[in-house]
Amino acid sequence: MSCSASDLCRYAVRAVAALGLAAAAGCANLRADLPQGFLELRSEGGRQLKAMTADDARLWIRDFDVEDGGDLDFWTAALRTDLIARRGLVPIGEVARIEDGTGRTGTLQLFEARVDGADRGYLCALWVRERGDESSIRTAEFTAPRPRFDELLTDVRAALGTVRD
Amino acid sequence: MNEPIDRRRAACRAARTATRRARPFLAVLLCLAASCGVGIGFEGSEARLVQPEFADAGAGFGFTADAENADSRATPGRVVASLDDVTDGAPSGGARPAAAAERKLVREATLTVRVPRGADAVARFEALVTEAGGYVVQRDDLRIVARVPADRFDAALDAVRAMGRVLNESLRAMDVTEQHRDLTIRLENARKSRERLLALLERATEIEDVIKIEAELRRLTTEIETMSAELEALDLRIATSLLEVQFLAPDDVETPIDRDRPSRFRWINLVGPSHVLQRF
Repeated sequence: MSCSASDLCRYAVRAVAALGLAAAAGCANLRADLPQGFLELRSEGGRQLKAMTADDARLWIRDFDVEDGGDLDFWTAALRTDLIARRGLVPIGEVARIEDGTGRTGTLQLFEARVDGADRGYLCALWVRERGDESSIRTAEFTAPRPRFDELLTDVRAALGTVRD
Repeated sequence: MNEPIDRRRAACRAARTATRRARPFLAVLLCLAASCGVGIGFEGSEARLVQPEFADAGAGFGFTADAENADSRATPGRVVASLDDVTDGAPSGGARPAAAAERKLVREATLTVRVPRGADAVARFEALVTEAGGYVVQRDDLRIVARVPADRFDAALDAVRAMGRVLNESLRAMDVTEQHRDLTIRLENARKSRERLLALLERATEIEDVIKIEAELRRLTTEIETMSAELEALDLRIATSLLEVQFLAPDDVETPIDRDRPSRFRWINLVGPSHVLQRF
């Protein structure tokens, strides 16, 4: 089996293009109008946004590629089941809907958890982009000790409405 | 000279005779009242006996009898008049259409809610009840019973649901419109009967009549007090709804992470409060 120079050249161009796209995708961090008091941290690798307050409230927005497909309702239910049944988190209210900065509809869930001996509030928002058999899932997590969590919740929810690429 | 004295004596005899004639009627009415457990009232030469027709319908029979013909007319079962003149103007001979009246509901809810910290949940619940203008009726460890104003009941219920994971919920709404109306009518009639008895007592001359009237007054007074208390309790149950919450809290340990049985989906294993704290 032989390979001509033109073929090699064509493969090389495709590889460079693919690497470039991958790099561009990996480096393009997410953006959001953070609430007052949050400092955006420098994050390495992947599409994510990390921010925290001086008193250790944390906001983490990430993208995950999922090969299994699935829509928003499926992933919302799967996450809720895992957090409640397997990890013992206590839900606060029902699943709510939330839009990001591009108008995409996602879901938002609130929980109470006990971590390292302290009661914490935990928010997890979810957006799903379906791409054929695959999906891209964006999560936005916010956690803080209570009652600090409750104080920041409104501002954080507003910030989630500005999340964009 | 003796003529005026004779006239006075004759008048006294006539009065005694009239009293003696009226005595059987009085006894009959008193007995009827006692046996029926309802109020009896006298006004001038007339007597009125009222008894409920159907307890659940809240309507009643009304008997109006002249004193002289009481034995022939005040017979249970004969409708002479409705309660229109002693109630709020309900149609004669029957209950008002239920739909037309303002419904009176007694609402109650019982919930079992799982929360991370029981003591905190109870404190939050108490604050919630106080804020809603209610009050705690009973508290037993993580079980708490409270009353909240009926118009704040739904909001309070939603707030409790949002406090944790609802494991069990039971709602009850009882329509007590007829019961309330019936009780109100009976109480009003008993009060009117008592007033009439008091007026009759002032005019009574025979000691035997006084004793009988006083006995009936004591019975009516007790009955009025009982019905007043019942009505007050019913009004309270209508105005405030009962909210009973049993909080369940897990053992005071950290939220467990079952690493031996991770989620089938990798990304789910990478989110959660512990991950945010450890991998941030």
